[in-house]
Amino acid sequence: MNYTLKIKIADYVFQCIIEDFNLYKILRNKYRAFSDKRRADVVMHFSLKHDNRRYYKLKDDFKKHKIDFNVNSKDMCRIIHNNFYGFENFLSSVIYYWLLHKKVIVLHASGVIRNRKAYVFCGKPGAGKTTIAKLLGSQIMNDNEILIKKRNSKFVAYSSPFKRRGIKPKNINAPLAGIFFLKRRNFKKITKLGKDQAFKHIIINHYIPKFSYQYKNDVENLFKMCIGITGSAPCYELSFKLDKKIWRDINALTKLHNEKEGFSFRNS
Amino acid sequence: MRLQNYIMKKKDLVSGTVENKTFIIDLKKKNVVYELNRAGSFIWGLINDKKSIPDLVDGVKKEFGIGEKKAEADVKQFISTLKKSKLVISK
Repeated sequence: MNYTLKIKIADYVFQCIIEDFNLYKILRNKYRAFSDKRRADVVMHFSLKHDNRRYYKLKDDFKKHKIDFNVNSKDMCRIIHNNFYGFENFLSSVIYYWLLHKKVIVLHASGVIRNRKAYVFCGKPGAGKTTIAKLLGSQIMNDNEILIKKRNSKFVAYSSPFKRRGIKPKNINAPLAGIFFLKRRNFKKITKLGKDQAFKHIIINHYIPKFSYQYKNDVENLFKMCIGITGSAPCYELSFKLDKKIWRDINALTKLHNEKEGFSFRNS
Repeated sequence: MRLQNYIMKKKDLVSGTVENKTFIIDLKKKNVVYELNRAGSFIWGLINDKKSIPDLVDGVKKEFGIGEKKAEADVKQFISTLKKSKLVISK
């Protein structure tokens, strides 16, 4: 028997057809906030290979959606001792790959919404993405991965259901207000980045699914998106000290910058 | 390096230019982004077609208004760096 689950990510609906009820149950509970009933844009069929170990494999249905996706033995996912993360990595890689094809990029970042604008905080592991998201205390989108898509000539940040670390992500989106590249320091400083520096930081913090390297067009899409983002959203390097006054500091520091440069960066 | 050799970009590269700087990704090397400065970006732009070193030297001379020897030395050094990084091939 097959079980069907539909999840909506960045305005696209992904339909997962799963043979294993246990896996379906885990997915349904985990992605409840992202479930949707609309007609699916992509259908993914995960089959269970029956042997002593549990392997999941993506069937060829993906090809029907005009993506040349090669499934080989390496793309199979194995779940050991009910460890769900192996499967989630696999699922997110496939979905992110498809999204990149549709010009949606994924940043290794946390994101919060304040005053209907999305603030995205990028950084290496340990830079303070989760910490800053918790400290800011607003609507937290996701604390590890944020999707960015162009909608009506504006860049919009979407939350991702995957790879959250302790914070339950909400299925929310908002126009991008700014991207902050975090550096943990003992002092507070904000530096507005030039387009070239911002581009470099975005590329470094972008999550490229392994499949994407097979296709030049996808990486070209990624470059175009990154250039577009650097042209429309302000990017800052934020050195910060962890304390509860972080919003006040961000507001004050960005305001100072905007006054200097005549840039309109609306927040309160 | 023979001067008559043609310099060609390797396949499987994606590059983009932002504010006079060029960023290159080699699809076969994951997690590596190459960054070229203004002069490097200019030469990289010239290599779009099949170009020999004297062609590149001429282009650099005109663009930056420098002498033949300096231009040649700079171009050769830059091309050898690109070759080391396996971004170009010479034929």
